[in-house]
Amino acid sequence: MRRLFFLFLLLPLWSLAAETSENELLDDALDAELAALGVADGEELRLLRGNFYYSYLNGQYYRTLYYLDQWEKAEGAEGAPELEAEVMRAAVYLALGLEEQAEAKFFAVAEQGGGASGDAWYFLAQRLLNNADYDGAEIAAINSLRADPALSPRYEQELRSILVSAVAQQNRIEEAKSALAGMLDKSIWTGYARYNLILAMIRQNHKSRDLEALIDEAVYYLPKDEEGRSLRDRVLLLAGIAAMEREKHKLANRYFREISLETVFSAPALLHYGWNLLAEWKYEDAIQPWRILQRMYDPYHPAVVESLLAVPHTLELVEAVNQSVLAYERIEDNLSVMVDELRSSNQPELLDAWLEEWRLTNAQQDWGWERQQLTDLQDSPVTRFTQGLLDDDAFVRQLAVLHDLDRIQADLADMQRTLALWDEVLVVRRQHLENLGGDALLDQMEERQMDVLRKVLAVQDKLLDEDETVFSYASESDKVRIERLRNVVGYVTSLQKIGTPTRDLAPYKERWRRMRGIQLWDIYEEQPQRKWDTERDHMKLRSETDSLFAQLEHTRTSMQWAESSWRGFPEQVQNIQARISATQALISTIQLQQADVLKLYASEYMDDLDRRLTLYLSQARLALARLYDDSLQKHVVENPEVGQ
Amino acid sequence: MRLLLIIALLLPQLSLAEDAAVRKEVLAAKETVLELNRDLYELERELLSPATTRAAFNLTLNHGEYFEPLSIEISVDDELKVQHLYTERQVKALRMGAVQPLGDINLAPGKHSVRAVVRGVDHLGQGRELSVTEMVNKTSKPLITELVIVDRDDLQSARVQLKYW
Repeated sequence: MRRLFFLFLLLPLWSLAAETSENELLDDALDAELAALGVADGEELRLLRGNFYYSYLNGQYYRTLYYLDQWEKAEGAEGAPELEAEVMRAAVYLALGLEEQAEAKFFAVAEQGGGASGDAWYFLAQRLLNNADYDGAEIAAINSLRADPALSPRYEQELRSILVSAVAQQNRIEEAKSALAGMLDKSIWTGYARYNLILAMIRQNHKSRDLEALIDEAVYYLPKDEEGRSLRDRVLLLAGIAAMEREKHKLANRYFREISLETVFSAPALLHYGWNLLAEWKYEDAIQPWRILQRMYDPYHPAVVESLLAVPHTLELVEAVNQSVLAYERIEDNLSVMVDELRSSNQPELLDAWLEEWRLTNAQQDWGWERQQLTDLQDSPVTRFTQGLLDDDAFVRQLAVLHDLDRIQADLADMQRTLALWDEVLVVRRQHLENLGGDALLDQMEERQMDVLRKVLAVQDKLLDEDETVFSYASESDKVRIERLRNVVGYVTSLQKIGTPTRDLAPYKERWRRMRGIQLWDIYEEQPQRKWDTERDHMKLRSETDSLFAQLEHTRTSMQWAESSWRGFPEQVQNIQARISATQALISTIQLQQADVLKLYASEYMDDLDRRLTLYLSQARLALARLYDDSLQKHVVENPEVGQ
Repeated sequence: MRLLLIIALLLPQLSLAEDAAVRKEVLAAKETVLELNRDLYELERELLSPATTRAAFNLTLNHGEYFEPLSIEISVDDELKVQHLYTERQVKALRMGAVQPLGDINLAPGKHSVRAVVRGVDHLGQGRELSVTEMVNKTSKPLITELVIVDRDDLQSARVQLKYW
C-alpha cells in the first residue's frame, strides 16, 4: 500500500500546473500589445490573427481553427505563409486531443526552426508538457525563450518551469538545476519546477544532502496561499516517504509533522507518519496519527483501511492482547461488510448504471483540454470502491476518450439539428423571393423613376424658356397684376373710341404707364433672387433624383444577390448532412467498444480490491486465531487440568 | 504448455494493439468532426451574411489602462444590430492584443450611419461611456470595420475610433 502512495506521489504535477496556467493566463498584469504577438502588415491579416488569438484565449477551439485557416489563406495569398500559424495549429490540435496530428505538425515546424513568436512557442510547450512529450516540450520552451517577437513577460516563469520540468523528467538533473537557477525564488512556478526536480532526484537516488537542501528551499519559498500550501504538503509528503525509504526516520518524522491537516495529502501523510514511528519502535506514538486518520476520513479511504489493520498489529507488538483482539474483531466485522458490499457492487448492470451516470454528469464538459474535471466520479456504491482508479493514468485516459466520443456525438447531433433548420430556412427564402417577383417590381420602380426624370427635364426646359420672357420669374400675384394692367388697356381703348370731348384720357394713360413701370420695377427687382432660388431648388431636385437613381441601382444589386442567396446551398447542406450521419454511425460503434473497455477496467480493479480486502480479512482472522491460540496455550500451561 | 505460455504472452500485446486501433479511430473521428465543424461554420457564414452584403465588426483595445469595456452596442441607421456583454476572460484577451470578432451583419450597398456605444469603467472605477458615429459606404465587397479603444495618456482617458475598409 505504501508503494501505491509513493507511486501516486511520483506522478508529475502536469495537470495541476495546466489548471493554474489557465489562471495565470488571465493574470492581472496584462499589458502586451498586438505588436508583441507580431503584427502583420495588412489590416485584414492583423484582424484575422487577432480574431484567432481571441478565440484561442477564450477556449473556442472550433472557431480558432476556422480563423487559423482564414489567416493562413490570407497569408498564402501574399506569398508569405507564417510559421507562427503552424505552431499555433499544433497547440490547438493538442488542446483538442489530436496528439498525433499535433506531433506531426510540431516536428515539421521544429525542422524549419524560429519564425514564430515566443508566445506561440510557449502555448505549444505548455500543451506538449501536459501530454508528457518532454522532449518536444523542451525544444518548444527553448524556442520560446529565443524567439522574436519575444515571450510576454507574464509567461516567463511558467515557461522556465516547463523547461526545468521537461529536462528533469528526462533525468538530466544538472541541466535542470541550471535552468532552475534563472527562476524567481518566490514564484509558484519555481515551486512546481522544484517539485519536479525533487521527483527526478529521488528517482535517481541523488545525493541526500543536495536533495534535502532542495526540499528545504522548496518548502521555504512557496507562497502562503491555498495553492502554495497544497504544493508544500505534497513536497513534504514526498520528502517524508523518500526519507523513510532511506531509513532516515527522524528526518521523515520532521517532514510528516510539518504537513497540514487541510489538504488531500493529509491522509497518506498520517498513515506514513504512523508507519515511520512504528519503524522507530515508538508503538504508542504510532497509533495516534492512525486514530486521527480514522476519525477524519471515510472508512473506505485506502489509507484508513490500511490503518485499521495497523492499529491492532501495533497493539499486539506492545502486548496489549485484549485490546488487540477487540480491534481485530471489529476489523473483521468491518472488512466482512466491505467485501460483501464490494461483491454486490461489482455486477455488470450496476457498472453499466455507474458509467452511464458518470457520462450524464460530464455531458456538459467540452472535449480536449477543457475536460480537466472529468475525473470527478459521482457518489455511488460503485464509486466508493473505484475511487482509486482515478490515480490510474491509463483508466483516466480511457475515461477521457469515452467522454470525448460522447461530446463529439452530442456536437454532431447539434450540427444535424442546425442543418435541418438551415434546410427549412432555404426553402422559405426561396419561396419568399419567388413570391416577391423581384424583376417585375424592379421594372415598375424603374418606370416610376423614369417618369420623375422626365418631369425634372421638363422643369429644366421651362426654366430655360423663362429667361426669354419679359416678365420672367414673376410671382403669381405679379401675374395677376400684369393681367389687370393688360385688361385696363382694353377699357382705355374703348373709352378712346367713344371719344367724348369732356373726357381727358391722358391722366388714365399716365397712371397706367406709372403702374406698369412700378410693376416692372417690382418684378425686375426681385427677379435675380427668384431666379437664384428657382435654380437652387432645381439643383436640389436633380440631386434627389440622382440619389433615387443610385438607390434603384443598389436595390437592383440587392435583388440580384438575394436571388442567389439560396442557390447551391441545399446541395451543400445535404452533403454535410450525409457526412455527419456517416460520422455518427462510426462514433456510435467506437463508443460501445470504449464503454466495454471501461467497465472491464472497473470490474478488474474491483476484483483486485476484493482480493486485497480478502487478504486483509484473512490476516485479521489469522491474527485472531493466533491470539486465541496463544491465549489458550497460555491458559493450558497455567492450568494443566484443562488440558487433560 | 508452451502454446499456453505464448498465448499468455501475446494477450497484452493484442490488447495494446486494439487500444492503438481504437485510438486511431478516435483521432480520425475527431479530425472529421473538426473538418465538418469548419465547413458548417463557413456555410453558416455564407448563408447568414454573404460576402456581397457582409459587414464585419471587430473590436480592439489598445492598452486599456484608462478604460475597461463592460458592454457594447452597435446601431446601423438607428437600428440596433450588435450587442455584447464582456466577461473578465474576454477583456483580458483583448488586453493581450486579441481582436474580438463582434459579428457579421448584412448591409445593403450605399451609405450607412454606424454608431457604436461602449460602456465600461475608467481607471478610477467610475462608469464611462465612449461613443462614435460615422458614415460608411458599403460596396459589393465585404465591409470590414474595426472599433479601436485608444488610451489618451495626456488626458488620462480613452476614446473610441471607427476604422473601416
